[in-house]
Parts: sequence; C-alpha cells; structure tokens
Amino acid sequence: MPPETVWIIVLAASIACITLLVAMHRRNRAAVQRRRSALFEPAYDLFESYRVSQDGIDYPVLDGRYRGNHFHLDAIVDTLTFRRIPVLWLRVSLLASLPGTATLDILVRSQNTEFYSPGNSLPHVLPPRPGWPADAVVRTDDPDHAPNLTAIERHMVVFARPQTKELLVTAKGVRIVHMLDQARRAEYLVLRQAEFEQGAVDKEILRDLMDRTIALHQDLSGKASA
Amino acid sequence: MVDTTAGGAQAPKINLVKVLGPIHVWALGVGIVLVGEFMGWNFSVEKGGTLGSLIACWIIGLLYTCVAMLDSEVTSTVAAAGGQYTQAKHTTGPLMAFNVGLYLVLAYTMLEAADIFVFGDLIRIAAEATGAEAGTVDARPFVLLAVSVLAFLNYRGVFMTLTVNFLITAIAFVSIIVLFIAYQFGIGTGETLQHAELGMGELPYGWMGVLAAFQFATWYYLGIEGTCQAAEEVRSCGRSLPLGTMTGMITLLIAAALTWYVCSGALPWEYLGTALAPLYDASLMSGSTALIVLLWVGTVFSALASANGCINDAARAWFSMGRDRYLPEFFAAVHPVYRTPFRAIIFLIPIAAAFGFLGLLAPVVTFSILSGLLGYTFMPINMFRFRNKWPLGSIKRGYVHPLHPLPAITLMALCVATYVAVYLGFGTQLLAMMVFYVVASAWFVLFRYKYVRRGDQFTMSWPRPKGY
Amino acid sequence: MFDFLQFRGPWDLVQGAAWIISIALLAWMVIDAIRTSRKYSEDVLASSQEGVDELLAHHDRAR
Repeated sequence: MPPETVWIIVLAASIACITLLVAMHRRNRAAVQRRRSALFEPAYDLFESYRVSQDGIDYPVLDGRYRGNHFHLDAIVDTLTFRRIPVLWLRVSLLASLPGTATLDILVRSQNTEFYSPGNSLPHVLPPRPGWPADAVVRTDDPDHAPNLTAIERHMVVFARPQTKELLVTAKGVRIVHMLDQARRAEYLVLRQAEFEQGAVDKEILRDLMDRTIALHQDLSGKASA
Repeated sequence: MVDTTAGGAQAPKINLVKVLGPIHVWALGVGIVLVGEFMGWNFSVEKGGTLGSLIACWIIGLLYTCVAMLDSEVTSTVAAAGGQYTQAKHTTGPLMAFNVGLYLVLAYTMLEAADIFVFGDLIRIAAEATGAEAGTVDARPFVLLAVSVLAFLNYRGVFMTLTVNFLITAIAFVSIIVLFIAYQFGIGTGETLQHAELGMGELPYGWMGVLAAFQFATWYYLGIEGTCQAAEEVRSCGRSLPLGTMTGMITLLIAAALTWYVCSGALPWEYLGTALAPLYDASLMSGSTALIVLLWVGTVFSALASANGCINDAARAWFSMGRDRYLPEFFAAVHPVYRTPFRAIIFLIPIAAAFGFLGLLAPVVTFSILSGLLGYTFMPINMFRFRNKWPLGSIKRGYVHPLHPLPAITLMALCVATYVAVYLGFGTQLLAMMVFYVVASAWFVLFRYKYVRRGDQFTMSWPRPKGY
Repeated sequence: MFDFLQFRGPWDLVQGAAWIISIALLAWMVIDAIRTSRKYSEDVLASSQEGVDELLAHHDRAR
C-alpha cells in the first residue's frame, strides 16, 4: 500500500475518531447533567417549599423549608484524597442563627484534604470527650464562645453511622456532612474516574439528617453558649 | 458501561457489578501497571542475560508479593490509612512522612516521564513505518503533547464526569496474550520462538549479573501497590481487597512470564537488553501487520493510562503535603470551579516533561525505581512498628498477613539487594538521589517543621498504641 | 527542534501541530491558574468555596 493511501486512511480515521469522541462527550455531558439534576428528587415531598438550581453539570443545590426551617442542601465530589476512592459528600445545612456562637467543627477520619470543611483554618483544637469517636478532630476559632460540648454530646450519636463525616456549628447555623456514595473501585484504579452508582439521595436518611440538625439547633439556642 | 438514569433501571446493573466485583478489580486494576511489561524491564536483560532476567523477575515478584501482603494488612485495617504517606504520618512522624511523600511524587513523576517518552518514540516509529524519512521526525513534540493533554484533562477534572470505557485498557493485556499465542502456535508469525539460539541458557555475567538485573526487574511490577492501597472512606467489605490484590499480583506474574518468554525467544539478548519497546519489537519480528499494530496500540494505551494515573496521583500527593504544611500551603489550593489540585498539577508538569525530553529511558526508569524502592524499604519498618504498637487483637484487622515477620524481613533483604544492584550499574544516580533526599530532609527540618501540626499524628480511630 | 519548518513532508505538519496544541494547552492552564489566583483569596482557594459559604459569611469578613 503506497504511503499516500496509508496517510489518507489514517487522517480520515483520526478525524472520524475525534468527531465521534466530541459527539460522545457532548452527549455524555448532557446525560450527566440530567442524571445529576435528579439528585434530590426522592426527597422533594419532604419540603413545604423548595427551589432547585443547577450550575452547568454540577450537582444541584436545593434551598427549601422543612418543618418551618430554612435548609440548604448541596453535594460535593471529592477526588482530592491521595490513594482513596473518590467520595460524593452531601452537605445538609440548617440556616438558623445562633447569635454569639463561635465556629465549632467536628471532623472524623480527617486526612487534612477536606477542602469543603472550614476546619483547616480554625486555629484551636479541643480534645474530644470520652465516648466520642477517637479519630474526631474538634476545632474552633474561639474556645471561649464555642458551643457547649456537653450540649453537643447528646448529638454525637450522629457519628455512629459510618457515613457521617462532619458536624459544623456556626453563628449562622448547623451543618452535617454525610457520605452519599463512593466511586466505583475499578474505574478509579484504571483511569482515576469518579463514577458513582447511586443517582439520588435516600429520603429517610435525608429526613433523619435534617431532624438532627434541627434538634441540635434547638438544644444550642435553648442554652447560653460556653 | 453507559450511565443509566436514576430509577428502576439500576437494580440489574448493580447486581452484575457485585458479581464481577473482585474480578473487575484484578483484571482491570492492573491496567496501569501493565505498562511495565511493554517497556523498561528488558534493561534487566542487558545486566544479566536472558536467563538472569527471568530469575530476577521471579525474585522481584517475591518482593512485590511481600509488598502486597504488608500493604493489604494496613490498608484493610483502617479506612483512613490510604497509602504509605498516611501510614507514615501516623506510625512514624512528619519527617518520615515528608520523605515518603517525596518518594511517591518522584516515583510517579519519573514513571510518567518514561511513559510519555515511550509514547513520543512510538509515534516517531509509526511515522517512520508509514513513510517518513528516518531522522526527520522528532519525538519531543509528541512527548509534550501527551503530558499537556493528560495534564489538561486532569486540571479540568474531566474524569470526574466523563465515562470512558476503560475496557480499552484491557487491550493492553489482551495484546500480550495474543502475541504469546501467535508465537507459541505459529499463527501468523514468520519466525518461531528460538530461545536457545538467542542465548537463553547462559548467564553472561554470572550470578552478579542476576543481582544487577534485580534493578530493572522491578519495572514489571512497579505501581502494583497502588491497587492495594486504594482505600475507601467507608470500607464496604473487607474480604475483596486482599483477594483483588493477590489475584492482581498473580496476573502480573503471569504477564511478566509471558512477556519474558516471547521477547527472549524473538529477539537476541544483546538487542533485547537495550530496546525501547520490547513487546512491540518482538511483534516486528513476526512480520504480521495485525500483530504489529495490536502491540503498538497496546503499548500506547498502557503508557497513556499509566501517565494519566501518575499525573493524578503525584499531584494529589503534592497537594496532601501542602495541606499538611510539609510543603508551602501555596500547593494546597483547590480550583474553585474544577475542584482539582491545580497548582500541584501545573508544578509537576515541567519536571515530567524535562525528564521525558532527556531521550534516555534507562536513567529515568532508574530514578523511578530508586524512589519506589525507598518507599518499599519503609514498609517493613512500618509493619514492625504497626505490629508492635497495635498487636494482633488490639484493633480489628480486615486482613492479617501470615508468617510475620518473614515477609517483612524478606522484603527488607530484597530491597537491600536491589540497592546493591543499582549501585553496580548506576552508582552515580544512587548517590545523587541520596544527596537529594538528605538535602530535602534538611530543608524540611529547617524551614517547614515549625508549621507542622503535631496533633495531626493521632487522628485515627485506633486505641492509644501499646506503650503510650 | 525546529527542523519541521523546512517542510519536508506531511509529518512536519503533524509535529508542528503537536507543538502548537501542547503549548496552547499549557498556556491555557497557566493563565487560568493565574486568573483564578487573582480572583479568589487564598482562604477561598484552600476551601474551594466558589461563592461564600452560607454558614461562614461572618468568617470571611473577619479576615
């Protein structure tokens, strides 16, 4: 076969391949966006009112009212851990103020790569109390105005579930971070892809998380801090 | 492997994946490590002859089996122990962890440099095979292209959303099997394998040569610890991890043996010892265009998949060190839109590209092997500390490796032997590497130690170690 | 390195294209990194909050 023919074949094949890849990529992006937009669907009927917004192909953000409280839910893909399979975190934030409270962050299984947690920038480390998970890192920016640890103690049972990652209390509200899904191992090992199986949140788990944040907030706002 | 919509269609798919689980892991998890079959291991033939290379292959296989066993135990015990770096932080301390982090970054960045160099050269070879004049095609633009495209994809976090059918990387494994079958049964090949004629039976440099061959025999397996160490945030089931690792190890041993067998039968050992892409060259001897193209494709895919994994891992290790304050926190930045460690990715590109441009595969491979070896030397030390501080029964272990301390001692002895091997052939590089790590450690102690948070050392859910 | 400018055959075009694409991608990454570093403060980059974290608005003000 003369080189010119080989050349033409290779060129044509390359152009065909690239066009095909681009088309597949576009279609894949659209499919990903559609699939991700349905993240909170099973839980829509929990809320009295809600608004879902999605920025591009990111996971959607839900702002809604549940039991009269204002909630902000979002999901974060975490691929930043070295030698760990990527994780999809669900952040359940109750926006109800706790005036005068300093920021308190309780993080378990910390690898220092938790960019979604403000813990890294909080200067003071408090010792965890007996009975708390031994790998819990408790940080605050002001020990004198941090929420009372005894009050928090009753709510530490949320960490009994292994998927719970973080409990954050600030002057503006309370947040629980919960592992929604882990990426598939084989895809990660071969091409470092973050491919999640589950399409949507579990309604009961979400309800439970929201109830816990409300309970914690009620406990903390009923007492004076420190 | 097309994504499905949320809802009813998911149930059958999940069952299938559960069934395939461990098989998935072994068959495809070794995809990245297979690149070592396509290039680099053959330099061991130059050192010890064909037979010497085979002996070294098995002995170093033993080294890696010990690595796999030790690693599986620590990784399956605590979900947080993702890799040697995290383990070092908790069992030994910041300075050791800093060094381990550096070993990892360098081992993977040099492997990446070797991968992109091979890719560039294969493009050049393809160009010359399809009519370009020899000497007119430069490999370097393609080396740079490989690293730029892969770094770009990693920078944008493309693999977080893009579903690529990774069965493509299975082509690499399949191509080795096909080549073996073709040669063994004379299908489509002009020549048959001629082991004796091509000098297999002798040890041209005696047993010293076999020792010297240890160095490059590690290349067959370098990277397998990545398969063992991919920890999970929440461990789903403890059993499949060691199973997947062990079967991965067996796959590699088989692939290494097949590779050695085919190449030593198709190419004279003096040539094999210095070739760039031994499996591809072996396919050239067959004269079958289909085989040649298949092996070319297999080599290219495995090199690119490996380079992608390296960019990903090295950047995240660098990022982790920045977050831990072992390195300037400049590197701990996360891109707000793409959620990737963008500064770490960019920083490591010039290093990989520079070594890829060097045009010499053996020294680059040696740098990678040396850094990997330093990491493997740390493992037995780590295992002794691990078993001492937390004896059997004090914490729940997912997998307990048998015959401790035999694997740890074996691993240490084989590492020492391999250092001697490197010293024999690449003494200057060994020295340069040691100087580099000593200087880096000094820099760390003088300039970074003050930023390190000591409390980070005890953030695992294990009871206080024995003796504290 | 710049032999291909002499244009001896189609592979010279391919080499040239490879150089151009690589440099373009590298430049894009560097420029994007610089732009991102300018646009967001170091705190935000370490925590990767694209906007302001609802629970921490007062936190940013304090810095």
